[in-house]
Amino acid sequence: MEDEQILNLYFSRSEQAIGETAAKYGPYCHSIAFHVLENEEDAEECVSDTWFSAWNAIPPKRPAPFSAFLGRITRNLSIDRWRRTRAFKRGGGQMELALEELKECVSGAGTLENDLIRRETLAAVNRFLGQLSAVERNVFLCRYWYLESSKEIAEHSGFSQTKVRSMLHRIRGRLDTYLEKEGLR
Amino acid sequence: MTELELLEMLSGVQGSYIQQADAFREGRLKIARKKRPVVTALKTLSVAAVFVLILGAGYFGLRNLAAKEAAEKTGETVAAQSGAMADAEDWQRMVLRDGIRFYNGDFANSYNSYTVSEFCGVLAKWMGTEEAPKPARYVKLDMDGDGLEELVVELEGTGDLPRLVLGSFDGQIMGEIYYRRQMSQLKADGVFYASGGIGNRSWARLQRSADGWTVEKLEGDYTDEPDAVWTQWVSLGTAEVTNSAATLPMRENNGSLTVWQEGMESTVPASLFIGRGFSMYVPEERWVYESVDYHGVAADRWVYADENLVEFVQNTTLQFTSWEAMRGFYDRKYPIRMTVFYHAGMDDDTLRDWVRQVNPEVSFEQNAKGNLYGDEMDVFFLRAGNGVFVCVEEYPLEATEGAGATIAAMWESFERWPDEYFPYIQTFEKRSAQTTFNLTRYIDSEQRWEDYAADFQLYRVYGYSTYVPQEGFSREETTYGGLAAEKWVCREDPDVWFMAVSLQTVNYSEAIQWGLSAGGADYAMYEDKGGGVSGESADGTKFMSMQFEQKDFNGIYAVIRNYPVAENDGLAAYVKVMADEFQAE
Repeated sequence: MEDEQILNLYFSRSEQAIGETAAKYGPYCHSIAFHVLENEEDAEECVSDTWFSAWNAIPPKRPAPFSAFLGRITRNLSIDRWRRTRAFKRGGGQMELALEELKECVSGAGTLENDLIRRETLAAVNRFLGQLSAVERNVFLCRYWYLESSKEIAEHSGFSQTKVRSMLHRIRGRLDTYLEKEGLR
Repeated sequence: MTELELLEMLSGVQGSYIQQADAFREGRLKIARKKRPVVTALKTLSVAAVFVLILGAGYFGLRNLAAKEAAEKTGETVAAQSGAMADAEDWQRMVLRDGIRFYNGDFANSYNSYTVSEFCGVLAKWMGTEEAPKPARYVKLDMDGDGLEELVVELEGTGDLPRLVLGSFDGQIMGEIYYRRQMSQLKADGVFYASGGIGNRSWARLQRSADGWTVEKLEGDYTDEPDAVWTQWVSLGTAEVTNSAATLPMRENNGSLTVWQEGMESTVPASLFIGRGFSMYVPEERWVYESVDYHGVAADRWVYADENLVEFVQNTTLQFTSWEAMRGFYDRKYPIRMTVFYHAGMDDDTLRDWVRQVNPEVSFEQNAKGNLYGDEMDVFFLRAGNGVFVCVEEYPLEATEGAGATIAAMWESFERWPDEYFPYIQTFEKRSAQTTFNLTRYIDSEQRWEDYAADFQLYRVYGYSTYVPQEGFSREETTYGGLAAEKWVCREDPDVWFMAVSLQTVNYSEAIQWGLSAGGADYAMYEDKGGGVSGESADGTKFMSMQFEQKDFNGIYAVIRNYPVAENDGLAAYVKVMADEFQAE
């Protein structure tokens, strides 16, 4: 079913909307949640929570693109769950590794509590991503948005793992410089 | 911002980016790869190469073989060593000289090829700075432990500039950038200090993969290991300061020529001369080097110091005003000399016709190879790039002590650079050997202006040419502001003089700083509106004007004229012409 039709179901408050969403985007959202949480059960729960959040948000929202909207909810819910459960887990997952890598681009001091700064920083990051080549941007987002490992990225990009790691390393360096220049690091 | 805040915030990035990335991970987006530039030149470099570096280092060090000053010897050695870097590592210098493009994917939608200058421009644009950075220094190191040397270039300019690491991957040059925090404290073995954020700092080195590098963290402390030895990057026209070239293979600076004379073979000790696009061995003794204007073309000339000249001097009844004049007369009458120049823009036949035209007194015969043979002059042609090297050999029918055979041996040792380098050889604008300028002077006694004509002759050396008065000025070699200079002083008034100084820089700011200080306490210099430096002498009687001229990357010349403030007999007009006609080449 097309996104537009699914959204119409939400707007008509038909519970079929959730079924159609799950059928179309279940694997996608599960993939996002699983990469963050690396736990089947937790991932399933996050995906279910995603449908619930979508049901509450639509209407009035009519998101486009729909997939990104759902993915964003899943990701936020997954990171939130990861944060609550990480105290009980040992490191080594993609989330921990990604965070370790992203330390290169940040000062380490919390600054995003202020919503204005957060929005400004997000705008800067969007600008930065806009300056990257499409390939770089995709590799970067596969790693830090979808939390994919470099091995996975290498598999579906055709690049070698070292190439992927090298590319990510360079992009992080540039992001660091960019945020520094913008005074947002 | 913490790393978690950043990661969470990424949820909010533009939806289309998320969609594209999803398509990418699903394999629905294909990666369009650009073909990297192929460096075809690398494997063909077999003779002394990178003449571009040598243009400056070589001929400034070598242009007077007769007077081998110690400093020049240094320049000569460096030049020879640089010039002989004939292995595959030459790509590093070619890259620095914008002669080879490299491949980088940092600032474009796909991997693009750049010259270093182009890359600096892109970097400036990306950083939002007005002035593009430029190479400041470089080092050749095996950064990834594979036995091949990479090139690390440090840039100078505004902002936090990355280092550029370039490597050869199957003959293709790849460049990657590393910001200061990602690569600092570079050691001689390629190890560096890398900071990846709080608690993520360590010594590291690059690890090579098929098409790039990753950073490999190292255990241990490398603080006390020897630092990498950087080489200051300077452009053409200045001697290159390096201590790494000494280990490179070379065409030996000192060699010998085998001369056949009366059926006997003899060996003549010789030094390597490195010219524009060629090198050649020249006997260490009795051959005097001159830089001449050969019918409008800059040329290298070696003149045999014929002992018969002494006899000629003793016996001649002719009167000469100077030794140079007598020498010139003798050389024209009894020439034993070899002249080499590069002539572009003519096909072979036209060039031969031109040679005949400029030597009307010689009756030439052309052999099957196209060389011209006359009674006392042979002319050889060697095509290179889009032009031709021309060697004019002149010697009397009864050559003195095998001088003719020596010239032949010198030509035998001649080696031109590979074709890849010839686009970089500049051809010179043809300027008339003599010309007349109309000047104006004020006749004080008659209270009127007068137009008058003054004859000038072309003065051309490597690096520049200008017109100098045919009469009334004496040329001398001197130093000014600590640098070698050529100066023309008016005989009538020594306060009227013109000077050309080759500055050891291509940086105009440095040139101006030099100009401000060169006059010392004698002159109060200031930056003038014309981009130069001007000022009055401390006693207010003289005025000095300095302009800076540069052609491409051949180094900046300070072109200086000095004249009395109260000067009213038109002499200042002469130095004005000399300055106005100055052309860096």
